[in-house]
Amino acid sequence: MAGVATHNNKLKQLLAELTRRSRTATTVQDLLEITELAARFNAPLVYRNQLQYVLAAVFVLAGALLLFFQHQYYLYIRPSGWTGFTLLMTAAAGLLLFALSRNRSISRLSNDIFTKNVLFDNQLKPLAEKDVANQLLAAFLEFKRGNYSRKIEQLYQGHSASDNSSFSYYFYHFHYVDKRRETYTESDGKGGTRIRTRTVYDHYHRYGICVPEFKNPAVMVYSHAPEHKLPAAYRPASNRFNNHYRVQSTDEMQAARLMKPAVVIAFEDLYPILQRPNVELQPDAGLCLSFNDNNLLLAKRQYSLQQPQLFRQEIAAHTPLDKLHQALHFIHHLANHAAISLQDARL
Amino acid sequence: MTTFITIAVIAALLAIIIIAIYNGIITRLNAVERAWANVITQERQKNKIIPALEQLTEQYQLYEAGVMTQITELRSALHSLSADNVDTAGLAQAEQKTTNLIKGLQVAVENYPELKASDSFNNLMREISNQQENIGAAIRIFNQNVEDFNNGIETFPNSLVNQQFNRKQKIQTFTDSEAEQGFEYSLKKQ
Repeated sequence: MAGVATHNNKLKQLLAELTRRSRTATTVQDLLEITELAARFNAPLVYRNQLQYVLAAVFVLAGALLLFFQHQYYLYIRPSGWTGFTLLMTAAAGLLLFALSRNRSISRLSNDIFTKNVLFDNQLKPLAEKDVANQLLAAFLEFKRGNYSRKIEQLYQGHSASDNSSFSYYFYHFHYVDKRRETYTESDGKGGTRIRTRTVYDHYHRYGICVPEFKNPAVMVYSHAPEHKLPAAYRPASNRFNNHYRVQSTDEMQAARLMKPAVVIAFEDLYPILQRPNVELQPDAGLCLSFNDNNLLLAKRQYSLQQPQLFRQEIAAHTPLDKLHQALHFIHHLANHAAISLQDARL
Repeated sequence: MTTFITIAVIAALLAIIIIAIYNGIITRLNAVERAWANVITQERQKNKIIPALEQLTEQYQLYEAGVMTQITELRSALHSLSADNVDTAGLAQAEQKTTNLIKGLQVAVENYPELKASDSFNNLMREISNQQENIGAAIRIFNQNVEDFNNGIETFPNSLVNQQFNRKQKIQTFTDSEAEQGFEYSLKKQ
């Protein structure tokens, strides 16, 4: 039993060190060092829970015996018997939960390391500055949603380059809440019903990419209707596009200039990839591509710290975010055509 | 009286359905015509670059490569295109002339390394490439709208309404592999 306690203590210390290093990691190399540290631990990275399992079994057995002997002695089970039984069962359940959760903490740490690795591989950096978030909230009509609250929950900064264009961008997670009153019926306890009202908060999440350096007159292309719109509507010639999107602008010519056939087709091709995509262009704020998908920064992890060598290889390999790259590819395409449209407009 | 009302209601419903289908067919036909006009507008954008091409031809004396003849043929093909009539044969001809001109230019500039490296030539080729991309996309939109229209007159009960009232014919889509190649953008290729 002493060996088990020593193993668990060493593992606890190791995990604390790995967690600390994971929090301060700034490069893939830092993450690789974490996996190397895990690999040097001369035993599997699993808490040994034999003690907890034995104790839990003893408590369950004791509870059962308590009920049995009370029933034998008093011919019924007294309230104190039920209280003792409940306490013993709660203790057993607590021990089992503790045993399972501390092993799950290794999986959570592996997730954190892998998530950081995905961000590093795709040149994304978390941003905690509230100024940037507030600027975005004020700049785009896309964020004028939610009558109760609106907040950018997460913000990342990245850079993307293609053959013809390159830009810095922000990836955000936007959370907004609508507050409303609703009526409902409930039983009045006398066989009838009564009508009551209550306040309901509806939570919504949108995600997106903002590119501040994208300069274009104001145009909105949306499949998820915003609460505030621009005054002039425009309809391109494509039935398929018009089935999915609506276009609003400050004036029709601006929209027509941007919505060249190649851009219209790009929007059509984007529709099956992203859920409810919207694009908003603002002359001072740039571009905002928003959507409902919450998985653009997610990649599937195959291994964990419990297989340190394989996990190391997984961390060392580049993990692409295909959906994010498709969204960025779309923005590059749009940027090229918008630039040509602006040149044409100046001629 | 009840029978009369029932018959009247059924007749009214039938009339509403027929009117809706009739209008649907007209709307889809208008969308095809608009998409076609869009293709022609994009084709005619080539008229903007023809003067620059002529200037280059004269400046570098590319006459011997037949570039000037190809420019004249393209201009003529563009001139014969009409936004009012869906004429896929005329469009195919204009696209063929464009392809001939681009190939002719590429062959001709091989003898003029100075021209090939010049900004003006590269800008021109970029502009042509951008135009071809938009033409390819406009053709794809046209073909999509034609498909919608054809489905709209061939599926039941639309086919009956079309036979009796609209009397529209099926429209051929435009197939030109080279024109479609001009439009290479696809998110699905990622």
